[in-house]
This record gives sequence, C-alpha cells and structure tokens, in this order.
Amino acid sequence: MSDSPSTPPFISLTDVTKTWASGSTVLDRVLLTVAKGDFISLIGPSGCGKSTLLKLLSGLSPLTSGRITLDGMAPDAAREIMSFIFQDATLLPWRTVLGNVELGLELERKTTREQRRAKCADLLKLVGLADVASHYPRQLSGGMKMRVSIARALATRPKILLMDEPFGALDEMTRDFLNEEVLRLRENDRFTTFFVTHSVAEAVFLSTRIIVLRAKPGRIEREIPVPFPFPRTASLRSAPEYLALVGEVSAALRAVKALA
Amino acid sequence: MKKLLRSAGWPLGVLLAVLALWQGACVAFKIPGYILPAPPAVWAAVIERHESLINAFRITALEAAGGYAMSIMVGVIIAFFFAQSPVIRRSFFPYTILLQTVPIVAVAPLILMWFGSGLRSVMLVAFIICLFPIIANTTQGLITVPKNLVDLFTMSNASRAQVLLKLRFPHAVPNLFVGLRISAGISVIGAITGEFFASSNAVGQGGLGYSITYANSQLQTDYLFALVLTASALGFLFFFIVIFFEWLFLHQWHEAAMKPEAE
Ligand SMILES: Nc1ncnc2c1ncn2[C@@H]1O[C@H](COP(=O)(O)OP(=O)(O)OP(=O)(O)O)[C@@H](O)[C@H]1O
Ligand SMILES: [Mg+2]
Repeated sequence: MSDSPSTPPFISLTDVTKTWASGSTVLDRVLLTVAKGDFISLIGPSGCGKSTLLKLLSGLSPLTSGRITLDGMAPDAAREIMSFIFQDATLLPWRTVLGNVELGLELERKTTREQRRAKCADLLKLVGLADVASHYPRQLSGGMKMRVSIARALATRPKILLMDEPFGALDEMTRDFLNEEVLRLRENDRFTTFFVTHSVAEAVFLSTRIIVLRAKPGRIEREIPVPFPFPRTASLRSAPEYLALVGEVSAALRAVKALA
Repeated sequence: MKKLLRSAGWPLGVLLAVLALWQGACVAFKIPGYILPAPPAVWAAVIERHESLINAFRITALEAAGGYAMSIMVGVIIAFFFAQSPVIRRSFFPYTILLQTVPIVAVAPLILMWFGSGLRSVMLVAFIICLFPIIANTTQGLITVPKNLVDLFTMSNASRAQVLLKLRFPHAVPNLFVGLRISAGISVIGAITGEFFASSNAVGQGGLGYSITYANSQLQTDYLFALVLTASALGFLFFFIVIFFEWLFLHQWHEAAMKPEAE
C-alpha cells in the first residue's frame, strides 16, 4: 500500500477468474494488490474459493482468465520464492523431523548435504524443535507437526508464504502459541503472507489486512486494514481496540454469509 | 521376547492336538503306513533321510529365492513404469492379471520345454508366479500418494525422478512388503511346481518337488510327508525373513508395522 504509483505492486491479481470444467465459476474477477511484507488473511464462508485462490497463486491450478504476478513473475515461475503450508502438516512419515525440514532444499539441489543439515538444524532450534530432530512424525503432537511444516516451508527462505488453514485442526492454546510463533518468525524473515482461516481472532491478530470473500461467485466483498503495529505480543488479545476490530470483522463475515 | 513365546503357545497347542489326533486315528483305524504314516514314522523318516532332505531343501531354496529376487527387481521396475500414467496402466495392467489367472501347472511344462529342464527354468516358473503380487501391490502404493504431498513436491519444482524416488517409492514400500509376504510363500510353490516337470538329472539330485514325485511313485509315504514338512519349513523361513526386513525398514515410521498393543 506504501508503493508509489510508479513501482508495480509486489503481488497483483487482475480480474482473476476460475471456472471449473463443470462450468461453475468459483472466483469471479478478483482484483487485489499486495505490498511486500503484507500479511493478508482471507476469510469467508465455506466453499467461497479461499483454497482455490491459494492454488491459483501457487500455480498448482491454472487460471481461467485474468492475471497474477508475484514479484514480476507468473505463478509457475514464482514457485522459487514461494512456500505452501497445507492444513494437515503433510510431513513425509518415513523421514525424521530434520529430514522433513531438509526436503525443500534437497529438491532444489543448490546446497550440499552438510550445508542443508546445518541450516535446518539451526532452523529447528529457532522453532524449538531441536530435541526432536531425529523423531519421526508419528511421534509428534499435532502442534509439533505443524511447527515442523512451518520450519520446512521457511527453510528455503521464501519471499511469499501461502498458508491454508494451517492451525484449523489444533486446540486454541496451541493455535495462539503458534500464532505468536508465526509473528516472531515474520520479524526475522519479512515474508509476504496469504493466510486462509476461519478464525476471525486469528486473522486480526496476525494480519496487516483482512480480505472478506463472498461466495457464489467468490469475490472480494470487503478489505479491512488492521492498524496495530508490530511486533505484536499476546497482550494485544486483551486490548479493547483489538476486541472491537474482532467484532467488526465478525459482523462483516456474518453479513457475507447472509448473502449466500 | 516373553510376549513372543506366549503368543507362540497357542499355535503350539494346536499343533500338539493335531499330532495327537493323527496318532490316535492311525492306531484306532489301523491305517497302513503307505496311506498315512503315523507321526513317529514321519519323524523317523526325517532323521533317516536328513541328508537328502537338506540337499533337496537347498536346491529348492535356491530356485525359489532366485525366482523371488528376480520378481522383486522386475516387478518394481514394471510398477515404476505403471505409475507414470493412467493410460499406461489401463493398457498393460489387464495383461499382468494373466500372470495371476493362467494356471502355473499349464505354463510350467511349456517353460521347461522351451528353456530346457534346468535350474534356470525352475527359477523362471517361480519368477512368474511371484511377479503379480509384487507389481499389483507396488503400483497401488505408488499411485495412492496423497494429493497434498504431490503438490508439496510440485511447489519445490521437483523433477519426475525426484517425485518417483523421494515420494512415490518410499510411500509404496509398505505396499511392496504386502506383495513380498504373499510372494515369499508362493515362490516355494512355484519352484516345486517347476520341479514336477523337470527331469531329475538336470536339476542336480532333485529338489523337493522332484523328490516328492519320486517318493510318491515309490509309495514311500513317510518320506513324502517328511518332504512336505521340509517344503513348509522353507516357506516359513522365507516368510519370516520378509517379516524381519519389513520390521527393519518400517517399524520406525509406519503405524501398521509397529507391534500391535496387547488386547
Ligand atoms: N478440483 C475441483 N474441481 C471442481 N470443483 C472444485 C474443485 N476444487 C474445489 N471445487 C469447488 O470450488 C468451490 C470452492 O472450493 P474451495 O476449496 O476453494 O473453498 P474454500 O473457500 O477453501 O472452502 P473451505 O473454507 O471449506 O475450505 C467449492 O464449491 C468446491 O466444491
Ligand atoms: Mg479451503
């Protein structure tokens, strides 16, 4: 948002439309620009196309019409600078925690084994998982699995992070804890984030902007800026202005749901 | 270990009961030894003919293991090929089912006729009979990788080879072991069937299959039983070797491979 009109936005979506083979249009002419370092939360009723939008951004699914550019690149090419975090942690069960975190770097084949090991061991320390580095995923709790998944996504130092309801399956305490962790990691890396969630509180806590989508067809109904400065801490959750904004976003979400 | 002994207790009890019934029937109905030898007679045959039993065991084990090993290599390669596209699978999979449905006793004599009756032909029979479970199970594992994991690899711009070797194959290993278990037992059946049709002079002194036909023709029923016992032991041995490797490769990460909890 701070971009001057002459520099192109970091990420831009122009008339992004997605129609399935069945003929149903899930996203209709979505228009959005995102500045570097933004943390964008996408909320909206189930089936409005939030996951689909992330799939389009990542190039995992092709657009029907419109244009997406990410740091000047088309989605396919921008994968180099992007990581995707899925709702289930999608860890490889036959690899240890360390082995999972190494995956992205290993597939890129730009680093030696020793470099990867060292880098990922450091990263595990950063997310507090150093002592389970040699464990297998089945030995971890849901929250720990998700932290491994986040560490794996960050290992390649992405400029853009796509997260699809990463904490949806976790209990509230774990979720709050991981929210704070995400903010902490963001202070280090300054990645630009698209974050899909059903939790208004989580969206307000994390975001710089909240995008409220409506369904059938999926469109942006409202954009709500979140003005609280960073670094944010857990104490924000009891601040009156935070609670007021949660109330406002909840009302917007209810209004959108009523449309459908 | 204690648990293992305790779980072995029940099947051992069953074995003792069957042996007692068998012995009882032989005595009660005065069944002649050439029709049904009593357990002590079978045991005596095992002791007396142990040298030829061990020899036959060795020959058949070699044939079965050879065919089995070949089926693993070829089966996994074919499964890799099948994993490449649904079109390939649809085109070729029906023919692999032939491997399963054509009776091996009909194919074995043909193979021996074409390739001569030697060790290699018998291996080939074992190979054919082992191949299908390996192909079918491995293919199943290769193609049932969760979509999200494939997407994860796509996001890293993984090559086809990387997806195959770092994702699909490790995912298919538990399935491969299902195939390996099945094929372990039937490799012995394949080798014995092959030997039925191979003449003795070509297969050394003759493996278990050849010896079984010989014992049968001579009405040496106690020896025949000893041979059948040896064949079962061979099947068990293969099976337990596979179970050991399955445990070795899977116990750390695979849920099903962990020891089931006590009931
Ligand atoms: N591969 C596909 N083919 C056809 N239709 C699809 C496909 N994937 C999703 N859809 C449909 O597109 C619509 C949007 O799906 P999407 O998963 O993007 O919703 P969502 O906003 O993420 O919902 P939720 O909050 O429940 O996750 C749904 O109606 C869904 O049925
Ligand atoms: Mg979704």
